[in-house]
Amino acid sequence: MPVPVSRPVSEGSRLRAGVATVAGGPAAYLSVGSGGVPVLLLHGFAGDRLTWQFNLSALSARRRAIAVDLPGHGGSTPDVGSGRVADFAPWLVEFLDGLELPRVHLVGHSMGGYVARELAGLAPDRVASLTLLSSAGLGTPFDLDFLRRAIAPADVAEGRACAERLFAGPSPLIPRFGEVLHAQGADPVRRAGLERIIEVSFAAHADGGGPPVDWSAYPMPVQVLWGREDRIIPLPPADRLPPDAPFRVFDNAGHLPHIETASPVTAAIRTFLDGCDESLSLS
Amino acid sequence: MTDSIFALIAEELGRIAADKGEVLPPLTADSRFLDGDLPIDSLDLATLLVVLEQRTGQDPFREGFRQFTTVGELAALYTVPA
Repeated sequence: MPVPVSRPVSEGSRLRAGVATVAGGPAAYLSVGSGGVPVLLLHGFAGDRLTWQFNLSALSARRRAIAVDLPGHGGSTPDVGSGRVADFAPWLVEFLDGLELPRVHLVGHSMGGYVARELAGLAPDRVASLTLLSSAGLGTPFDLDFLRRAIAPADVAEGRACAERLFAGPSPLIPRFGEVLHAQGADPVRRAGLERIIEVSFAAHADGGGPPVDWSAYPMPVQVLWGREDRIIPLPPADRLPPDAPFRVFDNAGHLPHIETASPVTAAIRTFLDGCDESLSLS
Repeated sequence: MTDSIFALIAEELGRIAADKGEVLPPLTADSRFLDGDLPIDSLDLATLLVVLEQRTGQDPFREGFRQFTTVGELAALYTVPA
């Protein structure tokens, strides 16, 4: 009895890569699916749009899903400007304009969470909801020394050691991550951009203790997701979290829950986004 | 089942290669994805995995990433009992 293994895929729902023309420099992105209130995915420091490859398909079931490379990363402009990651937010507004996306759900991982929150503050009417995953920018301590090592591993072995620190435990992806970190470090332009981001945006805040986020400035629904064994940005204390927002912690995940525990993380994002859509349509 | 998955992978890889103006060499179960055997990169490979999930309804990576380096190893991940 043959089992049906293939169903057609419409062209509109195929994963495709594109480059948008943005005044601040080109924006490389992946897009899959169509319709709904789209979701925009923002990767972390030294990552790129491919870090969402295990989530994109499932997230596109009821909406268009887009993963963009931030400045200094992947295929987007290598120009990181001043190095202030807050300045990526107006660049993203231009990206949204370029793709004619009036309103999106935002999901940001690590540095991408910081950028997502900045974008939500800058253009709250463009942001339907905010999902912060292992997020930077909450004023909690993080491993600055790791960031400095990860952008310039001396050899593949050190790249691999950095990659291991990202994961909660052994993963077949670690060797590949190590190779990518090492290759990025060997590119002087890329490395200089990442160094500038660290020194301008991160270095002064590594011990935490910054002013808490004023969550009243964010009118959209917010949820926070984290890996229990995160060694880069450890679990935040409750007083750093948005009041009354869902806070979910994933076991067996380090700093990359969307990769290490892709299925439950994707499900948590989908459920949250679907719920936000329902509230929007009722209001 | 592996044969039909293999055919599906060959079809989609051919499409991905054609989109880039490349021609896919004859594919075997031992063809390696990222070691230079095939004219594809990691972005193309991600594209392939997403399309396979859409076309088969299966996500072999649901419980986490599983290692594969060849076309045959990837096809085996999608094999379902008939």
